Amino acid sequence: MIVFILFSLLLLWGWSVSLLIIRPVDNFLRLALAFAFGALGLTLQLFIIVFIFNQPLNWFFLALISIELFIFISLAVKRGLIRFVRPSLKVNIVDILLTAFIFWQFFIVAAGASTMPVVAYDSIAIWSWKSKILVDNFDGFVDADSELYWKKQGHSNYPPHLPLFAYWLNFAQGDWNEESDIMVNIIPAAYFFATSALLFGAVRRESGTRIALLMVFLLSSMPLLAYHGWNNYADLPLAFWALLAAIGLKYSLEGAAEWTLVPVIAACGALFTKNEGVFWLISMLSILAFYTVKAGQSKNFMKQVLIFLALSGPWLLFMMANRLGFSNTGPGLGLHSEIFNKIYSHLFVDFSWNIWWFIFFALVLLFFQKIKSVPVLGVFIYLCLGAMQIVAVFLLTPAYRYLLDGTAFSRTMMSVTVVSVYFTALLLSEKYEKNFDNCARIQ
Amino acid sequence: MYNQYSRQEFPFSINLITHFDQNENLYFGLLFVAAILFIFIFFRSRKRILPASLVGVLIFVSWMPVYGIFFIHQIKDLEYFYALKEVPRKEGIRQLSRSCQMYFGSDTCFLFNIKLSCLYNVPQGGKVYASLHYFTPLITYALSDRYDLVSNHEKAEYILTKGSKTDNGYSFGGNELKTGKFTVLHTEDSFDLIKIEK
Repeated sequence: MIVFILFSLLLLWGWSVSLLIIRPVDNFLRLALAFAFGALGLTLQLFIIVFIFNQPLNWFFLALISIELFIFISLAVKRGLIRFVRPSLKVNIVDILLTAFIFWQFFIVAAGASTMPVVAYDSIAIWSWKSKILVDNFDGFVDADSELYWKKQGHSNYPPHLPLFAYWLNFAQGDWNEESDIMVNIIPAAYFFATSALLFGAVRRESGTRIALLMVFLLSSMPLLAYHGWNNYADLPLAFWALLAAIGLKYSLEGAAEWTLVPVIAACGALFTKNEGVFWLISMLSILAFYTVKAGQSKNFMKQVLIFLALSGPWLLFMMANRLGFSNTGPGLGLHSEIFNKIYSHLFVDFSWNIWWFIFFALVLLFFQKIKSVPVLGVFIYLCLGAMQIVAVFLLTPAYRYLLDGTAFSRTMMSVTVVSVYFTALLLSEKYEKNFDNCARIQ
Repeated sequence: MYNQYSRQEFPFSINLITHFDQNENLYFGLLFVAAILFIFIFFRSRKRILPASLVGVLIFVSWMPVYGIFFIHQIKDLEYFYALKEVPRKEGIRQLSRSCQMYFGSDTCFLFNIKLSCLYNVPQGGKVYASLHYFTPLITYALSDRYDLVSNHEKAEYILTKGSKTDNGYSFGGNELKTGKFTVLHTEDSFDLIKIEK
């Protein structure tokens, strides 16, 4: 019960922040934004308290969060920002069918998350392991002489968002027990639902409910993605942040002032979730820099960079101070062209993505010439840059062996896949617009 | 000190899908590409725009065959999740480890193609090092309340490995274990359990 209260508090905190940043949006987008801002905001503060001040999560932190929540809601009420967008109830049999399939996927993920303990390797050895030490032996976690010191654990350079998230949910639990092991899986499940809500809200805004439902169905029924929905890995959360950055980027390029900060907040979330987040950060900043400077809005870009540095600064400085790098492998550049065969197999033959990559490439090849708008092109470049950096790491560094042995590539591609689903929806909506334009012209 | 469990003692036994023909993915994918190309060319030759709804229907219809297989797989998963709920946690994990389960042939998805009966010979709380890390967590979890996964095999009391004896000691996963003496406690087709005598 207390877990759900803490989770609700996180959502409420994020919701109040989202109200202050973004004016009325689709309810699903609002929910996803509330989750994003809440998860990032709370874990960033926890990071400062735990890693920098070496203090455990206690009632004072809870009081601090409550005070912040009170201030944010007061501001939102004062500015008259608390409004709900009335949901449309126009549905037909196709929508109901797609919704039923989506709910089935949600049900499976919820069932897996609520019954299975952590069983996946990285989850036990890294993500849940760190949460477990935080909860069970906090003093050891921050004591440099202890065997449990954070720096002595495997992959100490991995960002602490997920362990801190689990630490937050375990507040008041006292110790780490069997229930905690299961409870950790709430996190990937929440990210799974949030990614679906985000995609639905964003695509519905562009292409209507039908396409949004279809895209969410495709996404939620991809086997590897569904599997990650109940296994506490960092790849699905990273995909969520990459998608949020793509959506924020598009609206930002469209000139929606209130969305200006979203891509940088999302990039910060990506960086604070998994080291591979740096790929998305580079892609996003390059595009923003190019378009905003080209449009003579370099002031806007500077504002975005400053916000990013303010949010990510503590973690980046902490990494520098502790000499933590982004890389998981040793030095040694080389060309490992043998990976391409395996990439083909991972994308097109393996069961991980259903037939998604066939659909994606076919639609891109057929409809790419229809892209006219700068924001959609921006999302496409963002997707390509992100994917190219991932492939480059596997192609040129010793990480290639993690691709050959099948341990890393597919799940690293999860963020690319999620962004590609969004881009495909945009592509279809571009095409539809052309259709509608043509129809209008004929009439 | 040692608990020996036999397969028959477990309260339930579910065999999940053990094999999936991944090529089906490829066939349906290629079929989709062929269909959309055909329709695109057909509409283009008549100087008409491909209707949006047709694209959506084509995507949905092409998606469903592979999804159907995944759907059945998920029903079996669900059956398994709820079976797990009925048994104490550790028993559940042991049972899970016993199942021969293949997920999609992809990374992070495991082939639980292991026989763990020997593991029940390991004393509770014993530290285990396993080089075959795909199923290490399950084994470690099954053995102890805490994660006694040790990062350095020299600290380990037991080693579960797919290895072979060498002149110098024992080789596993490309590494050679040179310190200590070893007793092979149990040998299965796919791995050995070794006790380190220090």
